Amino acid sequence: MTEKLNVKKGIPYAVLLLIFLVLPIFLHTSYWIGVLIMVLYKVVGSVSLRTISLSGTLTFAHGTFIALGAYCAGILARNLGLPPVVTIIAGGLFAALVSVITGFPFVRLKGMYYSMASMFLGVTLVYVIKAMKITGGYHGLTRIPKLLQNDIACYYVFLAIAVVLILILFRFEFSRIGTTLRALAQSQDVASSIGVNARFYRLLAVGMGSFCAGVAGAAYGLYSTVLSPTNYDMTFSLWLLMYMLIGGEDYFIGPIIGAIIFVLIPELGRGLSAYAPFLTGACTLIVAYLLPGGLAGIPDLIRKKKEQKAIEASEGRDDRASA
Amino acid sequence: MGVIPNIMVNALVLASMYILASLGFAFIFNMLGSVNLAHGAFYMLAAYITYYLCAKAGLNNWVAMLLAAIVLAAIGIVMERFVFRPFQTEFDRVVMVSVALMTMLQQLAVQVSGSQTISIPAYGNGVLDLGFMTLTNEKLITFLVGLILLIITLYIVYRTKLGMQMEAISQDRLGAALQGIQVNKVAMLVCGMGFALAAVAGAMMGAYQQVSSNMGDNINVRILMLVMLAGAGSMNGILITGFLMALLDSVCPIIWDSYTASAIACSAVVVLLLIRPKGFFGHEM
Repeated sequence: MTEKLNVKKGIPYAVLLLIFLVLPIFLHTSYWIGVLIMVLYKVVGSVSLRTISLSGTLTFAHGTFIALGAYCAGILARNLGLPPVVTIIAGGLFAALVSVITGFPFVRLKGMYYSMASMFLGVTLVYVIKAMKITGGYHGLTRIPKLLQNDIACYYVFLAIAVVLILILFRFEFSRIGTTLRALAQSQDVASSIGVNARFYRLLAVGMGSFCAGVAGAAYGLYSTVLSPTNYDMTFSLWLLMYMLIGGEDYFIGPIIGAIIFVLIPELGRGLSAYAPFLTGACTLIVAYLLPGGLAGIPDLIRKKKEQKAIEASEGRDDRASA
Repeated sequence: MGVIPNIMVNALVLASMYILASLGFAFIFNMLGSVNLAHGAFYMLAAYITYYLCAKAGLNNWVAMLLAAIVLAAIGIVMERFVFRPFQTEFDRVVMVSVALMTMLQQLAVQVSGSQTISIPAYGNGVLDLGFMTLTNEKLITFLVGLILLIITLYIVYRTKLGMQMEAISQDRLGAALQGIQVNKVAMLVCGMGFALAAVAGAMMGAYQQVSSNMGDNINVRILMLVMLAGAGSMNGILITGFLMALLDSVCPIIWDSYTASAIACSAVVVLLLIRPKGFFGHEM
């Protein structure tokens, strides 16, 4: 499934980028800026999760690697006073390093077994964060120096980081490596038989995805200035995965759409925020039962239906002609 | 001293509940190949139903527990029909549906009870003096209920026609159907049974510990860990890993503080799983 890169495919991305560039003009209160940064943060988290799952296995530990990036950057900025540029990149590298070291024994597992093992790894690492002294333990890390004092400036920095990361991941996916990973998803045995080193490529995807997740986590940590380990528990990882599944895991834009819509749902009715989980749950169920390709698969679904109708209509004509 | 007997008693009580809660998950995992991440949430739901039947409707504990088990069995049958059957081969879809259900049930629990700590009234009071140690009746009853249900379940699995049909389905679904086993009917029955067992575990743990909206999360990880450690298709394995898990959970908090203990217990499981990713006692799936 190699998608051709053409101008038409780029339109949705351009529109989204334009919307995100313009939005702070209308929503300039610090509350809404916070919401928008949250959206970007989860978009990057979810897109980078998709890179890992290109090889056909879902990971349940992604939120943990975001946490590792955030904690690494937070500790470096707080205790050593390093500038944000250094701490953010260090956060990404740290997340990538840990994910590659821990991923090394894991990547030989396939399918569900990989998912389960990654979930246990994620849970374990969050417990380690809660147990350690340097991370502030259960109470979390506070008094992290802020990224920038101005919220709107923060937002544009975050947007720039998000765009760069998404471009990197896009390039990664539509390169030879991405094609190899998709081949691994279809059949690891066949791919291995023509000389693809399955473990190396899967580890590469894990490292790449975790690096981007770590960078996003680090930037968000520096923006929010407070890190609490309970924000990174299994629910967080599960929902990053859900954004991707709901948006459509076969499409690059899928996790972007999923994350934007599902992060914004609780913001729709302020007074009704207690009911938001029911709404997200109901939407998830609708997608799970009615839209096999996720939200991004809707155009393809409609096209397929139309083609089928056209075929049926022409068959009907043939029948009449022959009769 | 009495430390070691105490640890053993605590581990046995916890193990009986862990095993009870995980049997339903294991049945679904073995027979239908689905990973029901919402299992812990249903366990929590049972605890809440029992609590409200006891505290608000004034029913007897045991009656409330039985009613909760019946409700959960009905939910299990519905789940089989609408989730596990249509999405048999699709891991992603089952994950989506179960996470959605989990989120909704947790939010429901938060809405209903707020953040107050509630607890189901105890099933038994008083202590039993064994000479070398004292044992609360609560622990004894919890353990006995777990043990009795476990024996009944094992009897069903190993000695009845239903159990043989389950084994046949988990080995080869199509083959079982060709032999005249009504696969869907057996699957429904087993799901109902599994959910009812989880309900009993939830109702007992709600009294032994407390009822809270995140009690499901904790047990969910435990259930997944011990079923994965045991491996697919193994009942005896679950008994062993369940006890091992409970032992880790009762010993570690004595030596370390609670988060270090959890970290160490979980790391032990991860290392064990890396040695044998498909479990220690099961067959490959």
